[in-house]
Amino acid sequence: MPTPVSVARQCLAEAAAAVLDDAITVAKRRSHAQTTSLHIVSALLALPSSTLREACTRSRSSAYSPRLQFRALELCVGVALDRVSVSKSAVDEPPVSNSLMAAIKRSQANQRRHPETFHLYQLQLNSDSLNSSSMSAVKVELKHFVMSILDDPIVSRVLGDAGFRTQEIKMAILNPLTMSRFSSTTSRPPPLFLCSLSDLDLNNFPFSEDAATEKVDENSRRIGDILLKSRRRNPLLIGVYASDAYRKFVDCLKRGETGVLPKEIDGLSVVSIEHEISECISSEEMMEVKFKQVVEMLQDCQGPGFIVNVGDLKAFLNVKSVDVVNSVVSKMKGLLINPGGKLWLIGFLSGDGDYKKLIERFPSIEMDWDLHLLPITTSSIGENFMRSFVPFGGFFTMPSELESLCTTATKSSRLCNLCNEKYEQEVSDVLKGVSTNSVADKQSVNLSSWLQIAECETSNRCLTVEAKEDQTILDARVTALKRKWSDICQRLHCSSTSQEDITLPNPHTSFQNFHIQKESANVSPCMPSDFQTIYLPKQEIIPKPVVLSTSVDTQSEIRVQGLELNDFQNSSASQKKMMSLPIACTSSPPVTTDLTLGTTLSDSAEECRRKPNLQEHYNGIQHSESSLSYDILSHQVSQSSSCSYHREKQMYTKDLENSWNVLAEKVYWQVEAIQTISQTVSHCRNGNGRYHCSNKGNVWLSFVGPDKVGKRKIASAVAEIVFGGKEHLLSFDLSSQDVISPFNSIIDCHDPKYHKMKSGRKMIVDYLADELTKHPHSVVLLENVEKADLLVRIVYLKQSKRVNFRFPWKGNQHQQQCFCPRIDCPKEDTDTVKSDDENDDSDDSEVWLEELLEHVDENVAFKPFDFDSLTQKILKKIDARLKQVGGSTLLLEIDREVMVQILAAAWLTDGKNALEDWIEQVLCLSMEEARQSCNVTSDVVMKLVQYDGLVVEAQASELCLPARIKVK
Amino acid sequence: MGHSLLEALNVRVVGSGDRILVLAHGFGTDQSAWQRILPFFVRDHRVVLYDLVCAGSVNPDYFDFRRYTTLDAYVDDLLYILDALRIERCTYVGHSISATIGILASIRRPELFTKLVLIGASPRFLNDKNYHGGFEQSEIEKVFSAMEANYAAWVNGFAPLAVGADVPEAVREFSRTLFNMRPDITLFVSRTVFNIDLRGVLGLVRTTSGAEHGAHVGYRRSPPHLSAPNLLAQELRRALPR
Repeated sequence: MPTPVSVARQCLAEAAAAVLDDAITVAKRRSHAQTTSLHIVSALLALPSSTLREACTRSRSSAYSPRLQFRALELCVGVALDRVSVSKSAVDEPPVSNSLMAAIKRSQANQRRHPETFHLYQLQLNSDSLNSSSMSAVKVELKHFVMSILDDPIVSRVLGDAGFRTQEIKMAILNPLTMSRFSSTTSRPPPLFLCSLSDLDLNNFPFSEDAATEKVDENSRRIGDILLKSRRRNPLLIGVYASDAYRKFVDCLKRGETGVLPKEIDGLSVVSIEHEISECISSEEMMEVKFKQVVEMLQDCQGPGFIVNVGDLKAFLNVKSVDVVNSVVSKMKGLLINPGGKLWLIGFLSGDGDYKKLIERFPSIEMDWDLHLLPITTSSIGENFMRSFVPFGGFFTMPSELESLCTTATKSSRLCNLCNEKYEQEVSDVLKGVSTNSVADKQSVNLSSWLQIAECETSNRCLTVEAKEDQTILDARVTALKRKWSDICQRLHCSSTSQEDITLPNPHTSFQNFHIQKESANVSPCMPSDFQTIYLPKQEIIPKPVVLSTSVDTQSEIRVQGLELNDFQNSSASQKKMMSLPIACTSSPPVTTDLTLGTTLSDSAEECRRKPNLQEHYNGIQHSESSLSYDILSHQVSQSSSCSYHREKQMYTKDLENSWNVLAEKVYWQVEAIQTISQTVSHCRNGNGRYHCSNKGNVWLSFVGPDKVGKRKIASAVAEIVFGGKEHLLSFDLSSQDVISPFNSIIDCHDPKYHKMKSGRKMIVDYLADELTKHPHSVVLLENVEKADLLVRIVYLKQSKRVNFRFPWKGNQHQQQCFCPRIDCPKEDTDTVKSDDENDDSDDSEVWLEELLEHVDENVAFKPFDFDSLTQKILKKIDARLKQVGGSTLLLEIDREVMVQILAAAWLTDGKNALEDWIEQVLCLSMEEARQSCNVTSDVVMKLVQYDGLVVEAQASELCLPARIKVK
Repeated sequence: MGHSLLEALNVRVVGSGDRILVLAHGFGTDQSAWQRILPFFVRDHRVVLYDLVCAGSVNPDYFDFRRYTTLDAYVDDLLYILDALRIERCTYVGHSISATIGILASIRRPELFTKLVLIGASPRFLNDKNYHGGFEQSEIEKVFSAMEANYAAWVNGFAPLAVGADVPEAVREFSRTLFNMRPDITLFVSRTVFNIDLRGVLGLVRTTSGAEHGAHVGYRRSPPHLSAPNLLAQELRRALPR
């Protein structure tokens, strides 16, 4: 039982109590259930000068700079604290854990015995002799407190991780002088830091490769291994769980699951004589018939062969006449000796006692049947403890058994509609006795050559056995068909099946509307925390309405009552889920961009002069400020089928090229980056990656530079190109600042893909691991990596460095997964980090970044988006249009916020001509309308301003600009 | 290939002599647990020491959560080590989880083991209708959730229980090694251990001298090589083939 804080505090002297209070604050802040020694260490380290810090300084290894080693210590403590699970109910004062209380007790005892203070306690004892309880009221001094904290194994482990030795620290606390001399003379190997394990060669570890590719349960795997042997290759499972393991294995084969058996004998068929064996006493004829069948099957056998499952051999023990069994055994023996080695046998016994009896009764059975005893000690199914296993902390993950069962089951059994139809058709043909190569052969036109061969085999087999009417054979054929179609389905329609697996809610079903309000700037922090539930639809953001006001001169504005905007799309839903979002409250000085359009070149010269201002402005939108919707790639035609990576290679490469070209057109300003990425991805696919991909198929890319939008577009496109769908993109913003810039949050919150993770680093890792277990084929986009706090850094660094890191994608059978974090470190952002933090930190962060960047497969540099030329382009277009509409008499003044909005829309859009269309169809039309309603013929100046009072109700297609402009 | 596993599992061969003695540590410790037993045998035995892959002294990255789901994978490791060291016959001393590993190894390769000495072995820890393993499934689930919730507290509570609180130095040693294990691995291995059922398999052990069940009085729950090395060494001496 943990001890209440007040009790513990009573045992401590003032300084020690203060440390305890600090530790409690630490525990509370991390919402831990208890305060432990680790929290004390954390509190002690937080103090600029504490006993512990001093002692550490004196005892530290000379191999590293003190700053570095302290940093390591802080990290280690941080990591250790992160492993402590978070309690659900927040406690005001997390009580003192048993181990910490024990440490306090130890230090009390220590202090009582200590020579310096011994006499004091003796005195105290004498004076308070009447009150015996005073004995226990020894107030622990900080020094003794620290000493006993250091005895706590959890603490010494953490210190050890950072290269300190508790023994030396203790000596330093007790005797500073000798310590310092001691440490300078001792040469010590450099400490082992958490991250310095990278060069372990894990590839040479035996079995690890096998283990990585398999998803089968251990028992089935062992059975498969035995089947491969040249002698003693017929498994006899023995043990309490033998029948479990037997059933599981046989069922897998019957269902035609691939991957259960080793490659050499994959596709083994099953013939069950279980029933006949158990009945063999009563009818020998049945047995005869069965054996004949097996012989026939064996003669016709094309594939790897058959496995005869004999079931529980206990049946032999119950038989009265030994002769019957002996004849079965010898007949079976005759079959097993067949030259092709295409027949196996499998059976089980649930106890060693039965086995002994079996051997006693039929001494030759083990030799005759070439049996291999396989003790089964663990259940393959059922009440398995492993099932509820949840890895700690989220950094270490394993795909749960549940998951692997599911995937093996669904992978083969779930066909897409198309394939299922064809499969069913073939099955019905088989049942009717019709020759069956028709449908599949048509299908095979699209198949790769090797697949076609495999298929011909299946068809042939089907034909040769056609004459036989036996149910078993039919079964086998149906199974084979099922397997064939599941193979075809997996290879051809992988994307469609995987799409079904996506658990994300369909955007359209959860339509929400965002009401944009200027006042509610503080709503954003709560937004992303619950990303599970708030999946935003792709069209949720309605841009700010733009109001076009016309005025004869600048002073007097004639407000013309506006054109009614379209009705809310899906308005009922939108009202229910109305949410307020912060809007850009620009703090930057107002920039005047009265751009008079429709005039001559002198105006663009004017614009050029204003460039500095504008530039400042563009920087603003980089992060910023814009009430624009983020509509990433939403209108793009899905290319999933053409991108499906299971295609034949040549075709695939061609497709790939196309896809990359399409992307390069869309994100035209990052052509070079796209080239680099496409090269790296294809290199890595061919196994030529710099670091990781050659081993696991994971590709690491860092995206360096500004242009958040471009990075996102590219990441999403990579997901589509590599895995066939944008839903394969997992995106995380690692910036751990508590205060999110309202500008960024607008963009981020509005797109469901960009989860802003701010409720704890543990969550990011957990969540990421979780998502990756669910969707192993994913592109992971990590934004603001340089802002990630330290733990996350360590974890990612470790993972990027280590060849064999434990995320669930590691063991996946599909080698082509791509892990592609985007490391997003715009220059401006790094600068902010620098100025905010101590020098120490920024230094470290740079070191860390450099290190990380060294370990990715490729660094991709992003250029800043060129707003200037875009502005020019837009203005020219508008200008040209206006001339058509109103000749030279019409002047348009565009408000700077509107201009920003237009620019941002152009940046974000995926539609190639979307903006042009908008200018033509929306802007010009409205101006024409406005002009007519004003009924003026002389020179007119119109002003395009942002109107805050209204929600925009319709949006131009592919563009986050309103579909209509109000004329006032 | 072979070298890396031997290195990864810190395989050591110490002492000299014709006879080979394999000391395999139990759950929650590492080969250092045999430290005080070792001096008794190095003079006339070649002693093979290694760490289980789940031990805190082994790089946790080697622990493959998919592979080590049953004890058979541990058996693979043991046999691999013995083969790599070209050991043809040996005496095997295994404590707790290693006792089970030894049983399974000797079923698979009877010729390899002259004798098994099993300390604190149990075929099954969970109670059944007609079997008393000592633990109820529900109890164990509680322990597991406690482990998940507070690893440190569990270690602090478990170490004195497992070793016996009257031998504080041993407690410290035990909790040190226990703490060295990464918590998720500890939990995973505990679950593996509680999944095991050797009933129906024990009879397959063919190693001639059979197993000396280490349930010697007083050793039921504690690693005796920690709490009473001298006593255990004597017992072992008696048990070893002469």
